[in-house]
Amino acid sequence: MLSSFQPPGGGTQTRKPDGVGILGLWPALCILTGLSGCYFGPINPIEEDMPPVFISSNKEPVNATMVIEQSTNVFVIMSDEDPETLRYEWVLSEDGWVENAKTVSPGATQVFLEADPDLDGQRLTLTAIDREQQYTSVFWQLEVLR
Amino acid sequence: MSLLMLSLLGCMSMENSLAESDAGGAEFEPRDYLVRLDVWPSSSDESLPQSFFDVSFDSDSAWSTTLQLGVPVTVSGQLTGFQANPTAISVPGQDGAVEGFFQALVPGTPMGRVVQTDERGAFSAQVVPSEGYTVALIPSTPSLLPFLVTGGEDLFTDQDFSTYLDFGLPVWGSVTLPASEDTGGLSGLDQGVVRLTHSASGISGPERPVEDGFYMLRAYPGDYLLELYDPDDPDFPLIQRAITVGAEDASGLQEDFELPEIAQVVAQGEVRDADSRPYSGVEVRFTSLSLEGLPEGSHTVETTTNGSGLYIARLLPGSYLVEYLPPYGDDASSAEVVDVQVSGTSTLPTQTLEPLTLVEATVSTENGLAPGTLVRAQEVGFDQRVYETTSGPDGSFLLPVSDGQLEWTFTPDLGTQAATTFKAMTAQEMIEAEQVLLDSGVQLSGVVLLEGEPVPYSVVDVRDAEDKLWAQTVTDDEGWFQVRVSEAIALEE
Repeated sequence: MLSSFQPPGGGTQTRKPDGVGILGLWPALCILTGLSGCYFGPINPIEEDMPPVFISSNKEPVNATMVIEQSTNVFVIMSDEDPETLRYEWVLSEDGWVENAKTVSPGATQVFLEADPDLDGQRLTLTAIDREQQYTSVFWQLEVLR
Repeated sequence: MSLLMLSLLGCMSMENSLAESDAGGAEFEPRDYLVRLDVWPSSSDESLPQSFFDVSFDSDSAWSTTLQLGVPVTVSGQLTGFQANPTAISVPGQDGAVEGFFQALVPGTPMGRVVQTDERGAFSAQVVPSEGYTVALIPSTPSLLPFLVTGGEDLFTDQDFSTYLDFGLPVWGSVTLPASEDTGGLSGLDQGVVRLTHSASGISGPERPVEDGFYMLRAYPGDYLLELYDPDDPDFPLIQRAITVGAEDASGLQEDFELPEIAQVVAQGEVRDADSRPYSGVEVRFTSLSLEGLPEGSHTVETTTNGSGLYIARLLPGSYLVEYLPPYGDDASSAEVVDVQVSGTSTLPTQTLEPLTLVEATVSTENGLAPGTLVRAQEVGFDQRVYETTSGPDGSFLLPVSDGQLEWTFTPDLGTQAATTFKAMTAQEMIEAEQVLLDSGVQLSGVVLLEGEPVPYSVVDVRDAEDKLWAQTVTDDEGWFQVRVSEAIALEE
């Protein structure tokens, strides 16, 4: 049987805004002191959008050197609250946009790199951007073998 | 709200029977379809990309397949060879270590490795166990030794590929140009390099310089492409000639190049946007279709328009394909003009780049609309740019795309009972079609394992025997994948 996906470390990635915890003391303080203006309804913390999370790549480790032995695909898998809206930007430090980048599925993206000596020394950066413009980047310093 | 992964990682029912499949083929019934599955594991799995050939699955989804990744085997060895005269002519040659590269690949698959030897010629590489490897041992430039390519190697266990490269057979000749009008005759070229590329594998050997109108390479018997070019001079054309080095001819093969005068001409012009304003930053690429006096030659030159939208390029006389490529992300289409004749200084007609064409269409299945479908249009020519969007709740999409032929891919949401569907259409043809009906397809599912453990987050490509990609998916956190594939892929037995 399959289970639904849980991010590394488990649990939820949505965190409460700072200070929410101590708000729970407020009703008790109201009762004890009889202050006017006390509100006893439930407190609903506003959920904060989190940036996409890097899950894996066939070219790990990321943020390190990638040796290009021969022409290759580079895959990256990201997660997000709303993976269907993720936008991916692949950029080479000298050549600019990687124009053949494809979305494999909502959480997975791919580029094809030729074993081109011009890539040697360039930095390949992937930025995943979600609907709220939160983003996460990973990069590789490229080294072409031949 | 819990963090949700890919849409493909939802709960999938996997109550189907399992059957084992390995890189050598599958052994289960029924056999309705045969596909090749390429698995790209994440590096954290300490495995390598590998292909599973002849994976069969049936039309009623009664079976799932198990893809057991092979544990890599190690190929190692030392590259040695005969060094003719290591220091001077008076010193006899001797055997010694050769620096270079070891390459192993299964043609047409992601299985392949290239490693560099150390200074002692030693190398070691991990490869996926499989049959059908092509193995190459390639001395580093500027070695005079030949490179060795062998095919049909089975690599299922650790192996020693230590190799001694002897002198092989010489491939040599002259490279001449017309001398000046005053003196007449021919003069030797003193620039550029030559290189052999193995015809069957596409693997290239070391470069050797052209000096005083002469070159010398060494090769083992076989079919090659002999290439002459100058990596330091972008104005110099690439000249290619198919040759066969015969085993019986100890004197080798003489191949002379008699080049015409390589005189350059100028092509210039202007690029404007749809509002007739000068368009700067446009890449203008000239690719030769034929060169005057150089039937074996080809030449590609790229230039960029300046702030006034003007460009200038130095070319060899001939016929060219001219492509105009606006900066990536601009609202402008690439354009091309075929068979532009360039001889002498040529001013080409002003090129206007039209805005991208906005395509509006609806994606549906036999059962209704197909919201959440990933829509991709990729240029067939130019720079193979990709344009993507996702269909909305009503199955419709709006996508600005470039003019020209496009390869359309429609990847339905996992919850949609439809297969990845392909169309080859221009933007205008897609607008006129209005509707895209997704193939219902057949379901293919399975699990990817490495030594019995699931391999999560691996990309799985579904390909046919001709290497065409039909679908892609990603394994979930327990190594499972599930994808619907167009029935057109079927290689029915």
